[in-house]
Amino acid sequence: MPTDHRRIIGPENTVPYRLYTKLNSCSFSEKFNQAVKNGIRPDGRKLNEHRKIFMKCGVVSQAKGSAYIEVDKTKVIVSVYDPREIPKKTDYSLKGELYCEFKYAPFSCPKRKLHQQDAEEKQNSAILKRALESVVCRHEFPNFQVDVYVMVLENDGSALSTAIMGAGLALAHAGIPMYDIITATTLGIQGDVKLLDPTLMEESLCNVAVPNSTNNEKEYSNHGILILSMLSTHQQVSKFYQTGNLDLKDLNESIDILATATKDIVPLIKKCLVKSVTKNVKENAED
Amino acid sequence: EFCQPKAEKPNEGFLIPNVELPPLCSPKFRPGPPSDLAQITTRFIADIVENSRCIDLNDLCIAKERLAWCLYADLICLDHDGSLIDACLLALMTALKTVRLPSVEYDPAIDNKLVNEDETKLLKVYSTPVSVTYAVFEDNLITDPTHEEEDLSSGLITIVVKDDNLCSVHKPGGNPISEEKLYECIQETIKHAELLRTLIDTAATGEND
Repeated sequence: MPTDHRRIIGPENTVPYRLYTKLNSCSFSEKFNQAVKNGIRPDGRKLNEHRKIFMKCGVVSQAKGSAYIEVDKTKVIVSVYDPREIPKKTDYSLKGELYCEFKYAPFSCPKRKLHQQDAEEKQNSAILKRALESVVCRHEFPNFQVDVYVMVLENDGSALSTAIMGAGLALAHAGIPMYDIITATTLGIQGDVKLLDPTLMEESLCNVAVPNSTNNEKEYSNHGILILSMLSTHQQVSKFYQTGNLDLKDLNESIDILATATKDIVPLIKKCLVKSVTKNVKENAED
Repeated sequence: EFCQPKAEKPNEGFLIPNVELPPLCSPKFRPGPPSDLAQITTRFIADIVENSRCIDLNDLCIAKERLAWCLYADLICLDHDGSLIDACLLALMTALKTVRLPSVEYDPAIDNKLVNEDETKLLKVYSTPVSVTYAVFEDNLITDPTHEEEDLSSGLITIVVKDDNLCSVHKPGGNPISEEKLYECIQETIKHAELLRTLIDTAATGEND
């Protein structure tokens, strides 16, 4: 990267200290067996149990709508701003636009992230935009742009699905017209094991391709990460994202698991929205 | 993170503050390179840390001329409602008081580093600078202005105090104020500083226990 004159620059070659910790002597299969012992994961969850979720609306006073969402240790804050004119567009369009920006805070991941958006964050911004486009009533604000900014304060797995849910909540809090409540979950697959809502360590385990020992060496067994985001009442899938290698029959099973998981989260979101509305009404009644 | 110390200061590590004002904190900031306010605040925080000598950079050195700690202090503003510098300084001081650095064994002959994450020790913080911001309206002063008040004011002044001694004063332009007013501000800051310092200490000891 060329020298950045606008920030204070530290020394050029800094190396994270975690690279030098005592080498992990476990092999991959040992690590994996440790992670899933008889269907119970290290933090006491079953294979298809989601982590505890905490949500709050209205955390950023300067924004039109905002939400803070915590899934165990993963913390995400989202803020939404009023529709404003699209800066560089001259022709008229019948539908409004969404501008999404997804960013990891430099301290959120074990290896420090730069202040500029890197490729992974840009990809996640695009995924977020496509997931939200189907749920927002874009014909209500033609020729305008709604800004959605997501910042991940701590990443312990499933950051993107948490961000999608947070963004849906913040848009609802901002009063942007929407068709439905949007929820999203992540599924990690390694071999025959399907882990719902993986932590960071489980995600890294699911990203490793293990060659299938029975057939020829070029074939790999199932592994990867799937993210499904759904609209609850309409029962429609708004975004499906998959990385890795997956058989077709496993695909059907996985989508079923994800669909039931997203349905379970909907009451939580509804409760949070109702709480914020009642708080607003009470405050206005007191004035 | 690890790094090699600079040639002219072989005994010192680094503390790199960086204040980030992302678009999510206020409708005034747009995505792109850091705005002027972010750059000013970053520079000011770096100056305060250096001038107040709150941490000793020699503590961060592991092996002279070969290996040192480089501490990145990334301050991300989540909601901008006035008194940015006060909040940044409070956060930075509290964070520095809870830093645990793992012990490192370094072998200079073969350039081998071994980090033991289980044994950590706290970073020694020698003093705690705290600050209070005032907004200037003609002849009146308002303590700790909100965003709206800052916009309407004719000038801002930030006073940084360390252990009952004045550490630094930051007055970016704006209306001139008289000497007595300035003196009043300093006295008030010293009084308020005691409260802020107990706040930082309670938070830091709560975390370390």
